[in-house]
Amino acid sequence: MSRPEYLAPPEIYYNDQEAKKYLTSTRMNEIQRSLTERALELLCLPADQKCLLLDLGCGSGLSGDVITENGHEWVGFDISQAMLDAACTRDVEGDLVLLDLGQGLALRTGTFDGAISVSAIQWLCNADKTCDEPRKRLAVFFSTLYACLIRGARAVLQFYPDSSDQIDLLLGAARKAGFSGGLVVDFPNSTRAKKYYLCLTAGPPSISSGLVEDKKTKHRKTKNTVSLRSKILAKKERQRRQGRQVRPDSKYTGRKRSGKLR
Amino acid sequence: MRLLTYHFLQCPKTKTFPLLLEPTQVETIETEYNKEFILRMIPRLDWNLVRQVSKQFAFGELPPVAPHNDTTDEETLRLLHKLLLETHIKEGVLKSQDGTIYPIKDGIPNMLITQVNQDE
Repeated sequence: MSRPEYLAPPEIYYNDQEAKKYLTSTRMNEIQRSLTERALELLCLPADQKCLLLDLGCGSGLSGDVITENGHEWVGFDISQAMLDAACTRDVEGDLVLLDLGQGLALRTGTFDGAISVSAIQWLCNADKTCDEPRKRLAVFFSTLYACLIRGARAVLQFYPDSSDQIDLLLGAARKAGFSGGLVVDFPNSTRAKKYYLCLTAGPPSISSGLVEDKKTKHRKTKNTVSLRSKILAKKERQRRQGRQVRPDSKYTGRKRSGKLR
Repeated sequence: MRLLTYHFLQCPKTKTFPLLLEPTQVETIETEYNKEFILRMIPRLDWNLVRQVSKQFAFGELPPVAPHNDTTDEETLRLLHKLLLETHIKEGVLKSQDGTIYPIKDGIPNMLITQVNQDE
């Protein structure tokens, strides 16, 4: 799989030429569309209610179109001017803002009903400039995202991780910001079709938050009612009955050795 | 950028709100009126700012207190819909309290921090 995030920073990689691809390629459109539809499904928005959503890394607004079709309002953020210009030529319904997600979302607290992101947040794991530190950028991103969502709102972020370390990095950053939730993997058996969705809930986890909390049910060790000595004695007795040579029982049978001999 | 989005934006650098809006080109695009959506947005807005913006864009005076969920004041809600969802800022600038300027070009506000610094 090619990894564009290793080639150049997003604001440079997504130039006019790349943006044009998104305008013309029907295959790209289809992929983006299906990813967005799945993300919206995972968002579990209340039915028959117009919601205000965030589209992080909206690009040319392909994902935004799906949101509009589902009857919601959206605001899209992207770092690439060329992609946003492409979105303008397509006359998308939502608002567009040029912004670096790693610098934090410039939004007030408690304003959005949910957030989706299609193939964007893996870009945050790269340091493109010497002053960039992915960990810090992720922390800023997730904490501002947490702040701008209303309590109990969800964020579904689809991404292409390059390693399990990257998944851990993202999950850790999200958890530190206060999100609860986890990873949903679609088509886990296929290398090509495998898709990762980070499903997060702002606020305390609910039953429907998609998180399988591994509750540590404390298995208390049931105390051995039968002592070790009586077990050994029973075993010796059994072996004697079988006619084997067995050392005689003494007061030391079944005791631990003293420290010196160990 | 619709005015609704403007009401949610704050300065990415200083985290101050509100940003001062100085539009040079405004456009009106009509959309479908959805009362429920407007009602849900009202608690998320800074009502004083809404009133101020309403005056700035010559939409007239809004009531001093934000309408409640069971309001019958359809006129105000219609006005809010026109103001927040149908008024688009095409060109202009957003000014932060510390003097940073975020330009709005072709309806897209540029909120990048580094780029703004370089321009200075």
